[in-house]
Amino acid sequence: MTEVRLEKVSKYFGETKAVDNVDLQVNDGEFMVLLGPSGCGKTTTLRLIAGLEKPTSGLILFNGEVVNELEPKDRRIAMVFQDYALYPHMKVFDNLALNLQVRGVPRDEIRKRVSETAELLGIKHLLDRKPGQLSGGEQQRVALGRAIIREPSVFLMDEPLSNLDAALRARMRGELKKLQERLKTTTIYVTHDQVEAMVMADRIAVMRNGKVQQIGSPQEIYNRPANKFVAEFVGSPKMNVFDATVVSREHTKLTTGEFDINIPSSMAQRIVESGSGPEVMVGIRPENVAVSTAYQEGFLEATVYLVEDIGNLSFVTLQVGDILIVAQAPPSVGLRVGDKAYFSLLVEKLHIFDKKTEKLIV
Amino acid sequence: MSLPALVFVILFIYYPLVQMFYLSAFRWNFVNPNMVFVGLENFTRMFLNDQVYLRSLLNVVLLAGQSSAIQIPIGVALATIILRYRRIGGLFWAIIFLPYVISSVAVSLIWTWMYNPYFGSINVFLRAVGLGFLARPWLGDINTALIAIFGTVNWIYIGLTTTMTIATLKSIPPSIFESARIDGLSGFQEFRKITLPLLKELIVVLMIIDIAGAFKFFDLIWVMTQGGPSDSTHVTTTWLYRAAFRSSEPGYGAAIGVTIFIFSFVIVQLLIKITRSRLTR
Amino acid sequence: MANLQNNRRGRRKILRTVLIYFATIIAVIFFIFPIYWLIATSLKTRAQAFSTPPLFVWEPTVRNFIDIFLKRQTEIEAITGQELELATGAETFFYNSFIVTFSSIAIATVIGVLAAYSFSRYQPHGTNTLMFFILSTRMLPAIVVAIPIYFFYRSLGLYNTHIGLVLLYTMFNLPFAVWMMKSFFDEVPRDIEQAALVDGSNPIKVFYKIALPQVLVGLGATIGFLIINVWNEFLFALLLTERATRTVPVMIAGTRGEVGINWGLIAAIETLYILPALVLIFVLQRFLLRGMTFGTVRGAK
Repeated sequence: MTEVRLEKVSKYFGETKAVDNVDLQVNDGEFMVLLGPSGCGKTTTLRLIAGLEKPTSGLILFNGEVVNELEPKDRRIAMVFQDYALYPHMKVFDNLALNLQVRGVPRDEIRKRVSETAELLGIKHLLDRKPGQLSGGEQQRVALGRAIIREPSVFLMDEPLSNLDAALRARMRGELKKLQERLKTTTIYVTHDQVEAMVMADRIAVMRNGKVQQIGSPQEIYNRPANKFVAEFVGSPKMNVFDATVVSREHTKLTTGEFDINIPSSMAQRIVESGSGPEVMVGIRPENVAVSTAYQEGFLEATVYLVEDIGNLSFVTLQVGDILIVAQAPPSVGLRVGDKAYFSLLVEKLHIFDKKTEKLIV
Repeated sequence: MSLPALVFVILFIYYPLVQMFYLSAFRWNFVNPNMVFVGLENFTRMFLNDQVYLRSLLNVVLLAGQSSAIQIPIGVALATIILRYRRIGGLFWAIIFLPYVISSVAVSLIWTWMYNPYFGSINVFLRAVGLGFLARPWLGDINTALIAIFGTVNWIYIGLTTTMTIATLKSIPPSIFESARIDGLSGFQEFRKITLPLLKELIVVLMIIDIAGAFKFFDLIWVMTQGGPSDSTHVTTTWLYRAAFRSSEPGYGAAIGVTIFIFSFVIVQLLIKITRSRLTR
Repeated sequence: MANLQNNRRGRRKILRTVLIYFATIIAVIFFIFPIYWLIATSLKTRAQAFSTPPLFVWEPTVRNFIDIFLKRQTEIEAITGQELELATGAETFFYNSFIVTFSSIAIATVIGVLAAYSFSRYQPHGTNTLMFFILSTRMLPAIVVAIPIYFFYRSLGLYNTHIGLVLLYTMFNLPFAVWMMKSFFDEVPRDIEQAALVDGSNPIKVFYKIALPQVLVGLGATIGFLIINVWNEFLFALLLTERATRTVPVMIAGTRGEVGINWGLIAAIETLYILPALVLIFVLQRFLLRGMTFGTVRGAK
C-alpha cells in the first residue's frame, strides 16, 4: 500500500541538470514506466526514489511522508538493476536470502520464503549455483527473485530486460507484467524501449533532458502526444512530421509546399485559439496514411522511395518533392521502388504542433 | 618482428641462467681464477654450515610474512577509504604511491638519515615528546635493524598494495555495492560479506607477489645496512652479492643464485597459474 | 524527536568526518615527511643540516644545487674523499645516468613496440605462451644472472662501459615494453588497419601510419614507466660500473656511512635525482594501475 510522489525534484551533477524540477505521482499498485532516450534522467529519477542519490532540491514522499533523508534500506523498496548486480561469490540461495538474514528473519522462515520465491520464478533447481554459472535469463530471474522475496512496498526496475535477447525479452515482458498484477506492488520501471513501455505500463512518464514531457496511459501517450518529441519517440515506425503553413483565412487549408491538406473547421478553430501559426508542424502516424497503386478520389501522387516488408505488414516510404512520408500498407500492396503511388492522409488523425514550442495544438 | 626481442631474451636471460647452474659447481676466486670442480659442495656448505645463509632465508620469510600481514590489511583499508572519499582520495592516493616510484636507493638513504642515532628525525621526535628512552641507533642495533628495514619496506609498498586493491574494487560493478545498501547491509557487514570475499583472489595474488618480492629484494638492505649489524639483516640476494663480489667466492654466490632461482621459479609459476585462470575465465 | 535524532546523527557524522580527516593527515605526514625532509635538507647549509634539534625554520639556500654543477667552493671545503669525488664528478654521474637511460629506452621501445604489434595483430603460433614467458622472466630476481653476466661482461670488455649497461637495461625492460604496448594495441580496433590492408597498403605502412598514431598516448606512458625503471636501477649499475660510467644511484649509495659528509649537498643531488620520477608519476597518473600492476590486475581503466 504505497504511493510515491515527487514534488519539484531536481538533481544536479555539477552544472548538469540530470533531473530538472520533476513532479510525479505514482499511485498505489500502479505500474509506472519512466520512458526516454539515454541521458534523459529516468535512471537518476529512479535512483533518487531508491535513495541511492540525494535530490538537490524537492521532496520525495512515500505515502505522504518525506523520505529524502531515509537510507535505501529504510524505504522498503527493492531494486532490479540493469546488470542484475547479483553477488558473484554467493550461491543463488544466499543472493535471495541475504536481505532476510540481515533483517534477522528466522532461518526456517528464510528457507521457506526462498523456496516459495524460487518456485514462483522457476529457479528452484538453480539455488546451489553461483551467478557466474547461470545464463542471462536465469540471472535475470534471480535478480527478480531477490526483489520479490523481501515483499517490498515499491519495486524499482532499471532496464531489467535490456541485457536479454529479443525473444526472451518479449517473454519476460509478459511474465513480469503478470507477476506485478498478481503481487499488486507499486512498480516504477525505467526503459528506453517504447514497446516495453506500451505493453507493460499502466501509465507512462516520458522524459527528456531531465524534464517530464508527458504523463499518461499508453493510449493517451500514443494518441495524444503532448509534443513533437513524445509523438516521435513513441510508435514504430515513428510518426511522420513535416512543416506546413496555414494558408486559407478560415484556417482550414494547410500547405506543405508540395501538397495541400484540408482540415475540418473544428481543428482550424483550435489553431486560431492557440494563437500559433501560420507556421505549424503536421504529424501523422504511418497507419493513418492510406496508400494505393491506382488513383482514387482525393489521393495525392508520390514516388515510392523505399519498401520495407516485415511479413504481415509493409512500410512504404513515399517521396513528394522534398518530403518523405511513411505509410503502412498490407504486404500485398505490390509497390516497388520508383513506382508511382497515391496516398491520402486520414485527416481526423492528424496532429498539429506549434512550430516554435513544438507543443500539440490539436 | 618479434625476433630481436627473442634474441635479447636468450642472450641476457637464458644463457646466463644456464651458465649460473654450471658455475655453482666450482670454487675459485678473483685472485686465482683457477676453477676447481667441487660438485654439490657449495650447496651442502650453504645448508649445513652457513648460518648467515640460513638466517637470510629466515629474513626473506619474515619479510614476506610481515609484508603480507601489514601491507595487505592497510592497503585494503586505505583503498576503501580512498574510493569512498573520492574528493580527497585522488591526491591522497598519489601521495601514498610516491614512495614506490622514487629510487629505492634514494629512499634507503633518506630513511638511513631518519634512523640516524644523533640527527635522525625519529630519535629527535621521540626525545621531543618525552619518549627519549626509546631512542636508539635503529639500524645499528641488532634488535631493531630488521624492524627498521621493515618499516621502510612498508612505507614503500603500501602504496602499491593500495593501488592494486583500488583497481580490483573499481572493476566490481558499483551496482553490487548499491544492491548491498538496499539489502540493508551496514558498512561493516558490506565489507565482510561483499567486499572481502570479492578481494579474496587479489589477496592471494598479493601474498605471492610479496613472497616473490622478498626473494628479489636487494637495494634497500644493501644501502641501509649491507646486511649488518653482525649479518643479522641479510636477505638471500645481499648475501649472494657479498659472497660473490666482496668475499670473492663467485662459485658459492652462483650456488646461492641457483637456490634463489628455484624458490622464485616455483612461486612465479604459482602466481602465473592463478593469474592465468583469472584471465581466461 | 525527529529533530533530536537528526541532531545526534549529524553530530556522529561530523565526528566521523573529523576522525577520518585526522587519520588522513597522520597518514599523509607519514608518507610525505621523509620526502619533505629530503627536500628541506637540500635547502640547508652544512651547519644547518647538522643542527640539533633540527631546524624547521631557516633561511633556505639554493647553494647546494649550484654547487652540484659549479662547485669550486665545495671542492675546497671537501673533507672526505667521498666529498671530493662528489665535488668533482656529480655531473658525470648525471650524464652517465642520462645517457644510459636514454639509449636503452630508445632501443627497448623500438624493439618492444614492433614485437608488441606483431603479437597483438598477427598472433604468431604460441603467442600466449610467449607472453607469459616474458612475464615470468620479469618476475624472476635479476640477481640470479648477476654472476654470469659479470664474467660475461668482463670477458667481452663490456664491463665499465656505457654500451654494456645500455644492452642490459634494454633487455630488462623489453618484457615490460612488450607487455604494456601489447595491451594498448589490443585496445585499438583492428578494422581500420584491415580496411587499409584490403585496399592494398603494405603492412609496414599500415603499422606506422595507422596503428602507431592510435597508441601514441600508450607509447608515452610506456616510455614514462621505462624511464622510472631504468633511472632507478641500482644492482647492475653497482656491479658493472666504475668511476667513469658510474650512475647517480651508485654514487648516492656510496655516501652512506660517511661521517660528517655535507648532507645538504647529497640531499640536493638526491632531490634532483628523484625529480624525474616525481614529475612522471603525476603525468602518468592515468596509467598508474596498468603500469604498476603489470597486467596482474584486470579492469584497470
